[in-house]
Amino acid sequence: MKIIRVDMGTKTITNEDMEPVFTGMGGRGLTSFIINDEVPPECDPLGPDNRLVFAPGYLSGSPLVNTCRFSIGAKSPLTGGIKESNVGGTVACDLANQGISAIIIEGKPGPDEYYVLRIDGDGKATLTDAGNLWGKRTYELVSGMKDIYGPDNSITCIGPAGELQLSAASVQTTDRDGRPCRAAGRGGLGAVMGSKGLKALVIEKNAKKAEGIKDRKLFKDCAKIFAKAVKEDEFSGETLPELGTAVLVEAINAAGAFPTRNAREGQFENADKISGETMARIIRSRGGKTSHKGCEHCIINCSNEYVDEEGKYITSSLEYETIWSMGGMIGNDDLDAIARLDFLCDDIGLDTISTGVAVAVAMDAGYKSFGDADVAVRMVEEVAKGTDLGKIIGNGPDAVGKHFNHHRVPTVKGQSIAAYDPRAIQGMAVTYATSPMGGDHTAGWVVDQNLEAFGGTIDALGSEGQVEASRNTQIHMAAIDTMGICDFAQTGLATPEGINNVYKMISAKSGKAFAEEDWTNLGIKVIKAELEFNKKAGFTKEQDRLPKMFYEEPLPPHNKVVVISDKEMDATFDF
Amino acid sequence: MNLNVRLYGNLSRSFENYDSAGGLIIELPEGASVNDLLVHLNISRSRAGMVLIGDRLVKKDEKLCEGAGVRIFQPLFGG
Repeated sequence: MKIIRVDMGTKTITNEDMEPVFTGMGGRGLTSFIINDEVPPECDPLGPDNRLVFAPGYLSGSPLVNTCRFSIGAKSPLTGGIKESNVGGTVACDLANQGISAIIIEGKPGPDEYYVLRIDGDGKATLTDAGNLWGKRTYELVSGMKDIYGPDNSITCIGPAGELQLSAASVQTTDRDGRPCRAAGRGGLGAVMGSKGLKALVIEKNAKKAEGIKDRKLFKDCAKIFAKAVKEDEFSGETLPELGTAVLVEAINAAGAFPTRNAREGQFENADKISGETMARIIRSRGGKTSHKGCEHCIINCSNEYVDEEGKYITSSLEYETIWSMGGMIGNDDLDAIARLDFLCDDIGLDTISTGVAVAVAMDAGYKSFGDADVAVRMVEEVAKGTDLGKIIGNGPDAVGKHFNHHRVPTVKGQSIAAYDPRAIQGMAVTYATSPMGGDHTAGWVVDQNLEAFGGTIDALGSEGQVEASRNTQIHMAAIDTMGICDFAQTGLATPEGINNVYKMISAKSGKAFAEEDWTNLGIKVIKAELEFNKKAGFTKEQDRLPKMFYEEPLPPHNKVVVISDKEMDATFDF
Repeated sequence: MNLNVRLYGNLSRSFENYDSAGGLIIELPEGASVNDLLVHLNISRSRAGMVLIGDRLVKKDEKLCEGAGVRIFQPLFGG
């Protein structure tokens, strides 16, 4: 396995062997270790000293299903700390199949220099001029690239928001149908890519298979058990393919945890109009696809294709977080408008969560009325035009709050929270506050442990047990994201062997023993590296706090505030 | 007693002509619990992740009362 290093200043490309210290690493672990090792913590995130690191998961490209996960890491221009943003699509498998563990982009080109980094089927990397592609939105870009490079490539790219180096800019990557609709949205990594003058990463697909599985038979046997469990589980085998992640709308809304109108309420009165059940009915009636394979090697098919009344494609995939950020959070109950906003964000290269919350903060500040979807569309379009207002929206909720001198801004470390209000699911308060990533839901999703009254023992509105639940989940997820296992495929752990089956696969690949303590140590090691970077970048415990609105404003219908004390927050990572 | 029961996710599939707007009207004996309701609906415990009466999360032993609005959700997973 090798690492490709590209210096955008000198245009030098070198192939390096993986350092022994990185053996067994992939995904988030690899990006975070490289960032912590190589990036000066106090550097300008958009300057030459930052690194943009792309890494497939350790198990990407292996026979295990749902492992085509791609980690992108850098110092974040949004949070000022370390960032790993995780995305599906096809690129992780393509890189892993070529034996490439990571691509490191460093340096900075001169002004008006723009490039495409191409890796051909033999793993050879070249930089080519992309001056004629700069300025293009992502759908037009990838369509044109098919003419240049042929149809069989994974394309990872930025849109106008990344080119403008805005802090909510995403990195988009193509799905199995070649559309740039999968987003590494969080943390503004599109801006880092833009600062490197890199418009796109084009990886040629080939028929090679990842090498380096020491005991392929054992690996395959374990992978079969895992895949069977994923298929047999009702959630990943039936619910997600039929309703997608949007199935969460009704559930989280019922629990009073659906942040509505910039988190002034916990329930959206028109949630049924934007629910997964409604979305599926609309898609079916118009001839779209409720089930769609967005990522390579996926057997869940939680993606969808949302179409208009004429059956014409609007977007893929319409997901829970976007339905919230562009729906309830801005008081909008028009699912067609949400779908259009989702497409616009993918096309312009924007994080749908940060962008929706930025619009919500502007509306809350009185700039426009909640619920006006046309206004939201216009505000997002402004980002692509690069107007003053567009730049403010494109820089995320904190920039909007500052501009309007409005203090109800639901961010942690500059990054907005996601679709679970921490006042109604207190465990999410711990994750949002303490994750090295800033307000991030995937870092430690403890919603199930809080809300499932039949299985859980935690009171969602109380503090007891929340720190431990968040800590354990964050450590587990750091390991999951290092391995490159899809979050939703964790139903594959529901076998008699449980997670031991995954340990066996890691061991079968590496040829070394791997047990529970190795898994926990891996997760802790990754988080420690991230915390270390953030500390050196100037973060203190004071940044591990939620905005005052969550401590001071009771959230209807439960009328609770966050009750996790600072002391409890600080005990989360006491290692 | 009569209960208004709404089912989410895939749970309604087992009920022909389920009305998503109105849910189900279910009659149970006085004193019945949430668990009794699940048994009546033939929804196994593993398929019911979250049950609410009104806006309140409830456990399996919770007693139901006349006219209660019950919402049943599958186990949650995601992010």
